[in-house]
Amino acid sequence: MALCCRRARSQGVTVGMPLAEAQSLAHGLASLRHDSQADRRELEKLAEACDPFSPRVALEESDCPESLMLDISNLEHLWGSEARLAKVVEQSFRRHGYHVRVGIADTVGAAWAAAHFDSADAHQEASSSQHSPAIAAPRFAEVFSPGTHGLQALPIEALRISDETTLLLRELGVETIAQLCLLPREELKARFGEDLLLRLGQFQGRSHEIIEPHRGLPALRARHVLEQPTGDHTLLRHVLAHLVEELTGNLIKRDEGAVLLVCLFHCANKEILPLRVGLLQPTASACQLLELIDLHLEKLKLNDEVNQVEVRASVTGKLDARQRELFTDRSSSDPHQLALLVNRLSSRLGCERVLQVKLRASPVPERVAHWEPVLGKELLKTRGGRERRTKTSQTTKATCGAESFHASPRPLLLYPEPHPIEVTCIEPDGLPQFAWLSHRRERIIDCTGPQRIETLWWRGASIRRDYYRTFLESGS
Amino acid sequence: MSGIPISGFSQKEARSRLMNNLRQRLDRWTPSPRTDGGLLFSCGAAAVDRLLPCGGLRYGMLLELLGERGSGAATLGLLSGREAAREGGVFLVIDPQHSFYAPAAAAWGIDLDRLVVVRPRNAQDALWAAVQSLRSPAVAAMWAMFDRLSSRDFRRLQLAAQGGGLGILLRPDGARAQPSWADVRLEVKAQRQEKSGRSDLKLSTFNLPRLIQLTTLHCRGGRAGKTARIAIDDVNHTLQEARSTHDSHSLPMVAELADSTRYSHSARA
Repeated sequence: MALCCRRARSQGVTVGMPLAEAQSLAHGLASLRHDSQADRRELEKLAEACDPFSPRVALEESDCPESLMLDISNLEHLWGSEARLAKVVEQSFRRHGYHVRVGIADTVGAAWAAAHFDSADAHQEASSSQHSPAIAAPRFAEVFSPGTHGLQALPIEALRISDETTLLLRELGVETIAQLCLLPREELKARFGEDLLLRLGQFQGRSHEIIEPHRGLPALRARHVLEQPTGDHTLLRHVLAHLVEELTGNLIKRDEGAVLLVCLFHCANKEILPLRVGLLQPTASACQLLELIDLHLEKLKLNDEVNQVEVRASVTGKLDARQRELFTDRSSSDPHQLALLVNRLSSRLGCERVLQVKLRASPVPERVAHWEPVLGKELLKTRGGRERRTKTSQTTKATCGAESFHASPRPLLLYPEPHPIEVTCIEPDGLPQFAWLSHRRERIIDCTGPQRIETLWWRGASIRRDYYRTFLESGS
Repeated sequence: MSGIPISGFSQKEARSRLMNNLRQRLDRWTPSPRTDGGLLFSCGAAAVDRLLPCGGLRYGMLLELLGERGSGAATLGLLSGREAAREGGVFLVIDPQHSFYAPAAAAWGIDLDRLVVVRPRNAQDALWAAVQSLRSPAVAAMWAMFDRLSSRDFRRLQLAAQGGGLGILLRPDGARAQPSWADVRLEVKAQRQEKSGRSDLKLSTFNLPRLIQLTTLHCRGGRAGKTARIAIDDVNHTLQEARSTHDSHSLPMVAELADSTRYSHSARA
């Protein structure tokens, strides 16, 4: 049994039970073959039907999603109240023939919990009802206001953790979220790993969780199911080319370009391999996207054959209209050409290897430069001169701040890790006279320093070092 | 004379066309400075400009600097890139060893807003990144360090640089024996400081400028063997021609012969 209704559950049917056993427990049990793909398609249609309620609708992040996530931030006033919105949503789904349960809260995790589990108030209502609690008319909506205590009273299953973790926690006597919150976080992490803390953080709002909107196939997603699973990169590339053409066609119709393109390879072993292509500027050029995908494909390692390929434009932006020039002028900075180069370099080498620097004021030389990936930060903004001048002045200030700590100039090439060298001094703690560099003894003919730098004590172990600027006999 | 239609042209016109055709073919095979109107700019010091073909640097040029660490080659390369990027474009650094120190570059006047640093994992990625950067119209100057470059890889860089920005390659001294496809190949050697007059090593209270000597090993469209001495002031971040502090008396190599007429006059008296 993959799923069962409340009435079947009341007669003892549980998920995972063999069909024959379930039929023996529940007389007149109607069963259908579970088709997860059909379920997903149906859920996607329902997601599209939710467009009147929210511009951002997503499917639950799961292999077999059962819930829809709607971002209703700043929208409740359109419906009067959150409770009113919940009622409208429930009625809309009922017209489609579905009985749904709506949960509204401040975070995705809490809303999911509210939709799947009854709060303490609901239990109280059910117990005071004339009908049996199991088949009492369920509350169709749970609305948790900020700071409500009802959230903490929910069971730990409401955190979307694995069954193993749930079982272990229950064995330890932890049954509600409130009890879990009382335990030290370090011990939870050591015992149960990062996932439990992440889910707890998502529930409480301390960890950010993004709703990846579902826009429907025709617009920003294209998919192809292969007749036979394959691991042939050439064939996959061919399929990707078609999907990208279809996707970019839809993007152009919306006058949008992809900023983050995600290619998903659904493998035969249920694994989904993502391939993320980030871009500095929105683009709807199929050629450009395919070129970048090719660079990623070179590094892709498939553990199993692929039976489905999907391409999504997860993040889009308005396309920038630009006039093509017949004669390119080298003296002007072309953001588009830079974007092409950065995209290409980042795709082949990795975003973390194409960097720009921001200076910080620090006495420690290796802490002055702070490196950030270029992708994600526009180097040359189209808003233009004013933004550029602001950045320059900030950089200059930072430079002045950084340089003011330096009594002597720093070299252009600084080893990322210090290399030990042998130095001969005549007096203890005196000036160096000779140094062994590259297996050669070099005489030091002039020396400035020392400039003494101590690591800031609040950054860890306090280390003191002396910097000398030396002139060797060879001239270096 | 094949391929040149003569019919329809006078003999003079046909000769003129033939000469132009021959000239183009010769230009293709003769190493001569490109006269396609590429923008010429200084590298920051007039003494160095005199070593370069046409008296300056040019976009689409590949400049190779051979020198050990601490010789001043990196600084000279940086300043060349700074001048190339002055009119616009990005200054791109290929830094596989993670040793490029941006604050020092900023002190020399590099605009960090237009600086991109690429840290490739291996030599193959470094070469690929360098080729892509040189081909991009957005890059005004590309600065990279390569210990070893095969002739084929060097040729790829040279072809990529044509029509692109300025390519600056830093190589160790030992690369002198390796083939080069650079437009200009300069050897950079640190020079011994002038004697300060102190017999023992004492703590200096001032920072001496670094003296370096540049020698043209190869110059497309120019003469090899030219030298220049420049002083790099790391404190004031300036570059100037080095002048010797000693008196410059020009002593003849060969002693002059005594003037015989002087003695003959004195003998008569």
